[in-house]
Amino acid sequence: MIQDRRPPRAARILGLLLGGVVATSCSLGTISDTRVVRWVEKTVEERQPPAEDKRFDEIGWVTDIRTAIALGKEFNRPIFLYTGHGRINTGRC
Amino acid sequence: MCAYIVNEEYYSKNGGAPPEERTELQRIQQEGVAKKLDVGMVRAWVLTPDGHPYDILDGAALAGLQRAVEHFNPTPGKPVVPPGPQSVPPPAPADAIALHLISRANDRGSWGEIPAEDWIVLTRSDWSKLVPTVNVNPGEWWELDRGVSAKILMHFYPQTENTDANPDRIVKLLLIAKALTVKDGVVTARIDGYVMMHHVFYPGRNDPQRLGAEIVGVMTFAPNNPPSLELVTTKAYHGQRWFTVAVRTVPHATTR
Repeated sequence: MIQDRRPPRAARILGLLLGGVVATSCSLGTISDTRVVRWVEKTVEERQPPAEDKRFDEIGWVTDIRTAIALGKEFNRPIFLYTGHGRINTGRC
Repeated sequence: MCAYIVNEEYYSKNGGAPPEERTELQRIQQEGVAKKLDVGMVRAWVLTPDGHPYDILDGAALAGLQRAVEHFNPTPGKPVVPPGPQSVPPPAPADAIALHLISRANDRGSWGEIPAEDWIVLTRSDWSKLVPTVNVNPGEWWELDRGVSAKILMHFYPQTENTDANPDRIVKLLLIAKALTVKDGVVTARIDGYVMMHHVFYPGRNDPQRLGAEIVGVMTFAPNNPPSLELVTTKAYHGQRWFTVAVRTVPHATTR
């Protein structure tokens, strides 16, 4: 439902319920309407991983064992095989 | 030749690895045991070109790789598989939106060294719950659907060994949009909100730590079109760690 007024104060300060360290310096709404679009855009860009954090992508990977072996045989190259929990390609591991 | 696999796909009953792949992994492990290698689930193997265990690398991985090069004496050349981005948006319906999330603890080294990424797909049914069904004017506000908000905010956690982004971890959340401008039918709205949840660092443990994040963002949309969304944390903590998150809409491959 659209509301034709400011968000209720209770909603705007609900962040205070965050507790702990965040609650001591809650910043909800402290970025002005005139600045927020540019600020968000800039901050999103700044938080993208730099190239040095994406060196994993500088390696040519396959993601299954049989393809690795087939290519290893074809090109007579030893195989480096990493087996891990989670997804090493996204850092969620 | 380099390969990585996701254990959950191979060991879990519901994993996506086909039986032939699982059999190959079992064979390699059995041969590794027979060779008296330190076989385990999380390992960096060196296999012969025809797929038999040669070595398992320990902490001195670079020295181990050098030993392998000296042993196999491969012909130098370009990578067999061209390098490329390993974290890419999943295919999704044409009318869906894909969100790319970057999360990173402020500490560096160990768990803080490499940022974590998530891909979040919002179907038309999802994103249509984020935008108003009626015209809006500057200054008007609305709350974003909490179920859809949870689909996004459940990924707001730093790099941890536990990667189970279950929405049941969420205690409270709120995302409010306020229209800033309306130009030629295109609405630009700011978003403010927060999420509170409990998140366990190591999977299988029962010691969740509190997590809180304040969020600011921008959503742009035209009637009946998918919105563009950007979200960032202004303050976020998990236990004693501070972290940051950034989310933005990205193009995605289309499923049929």
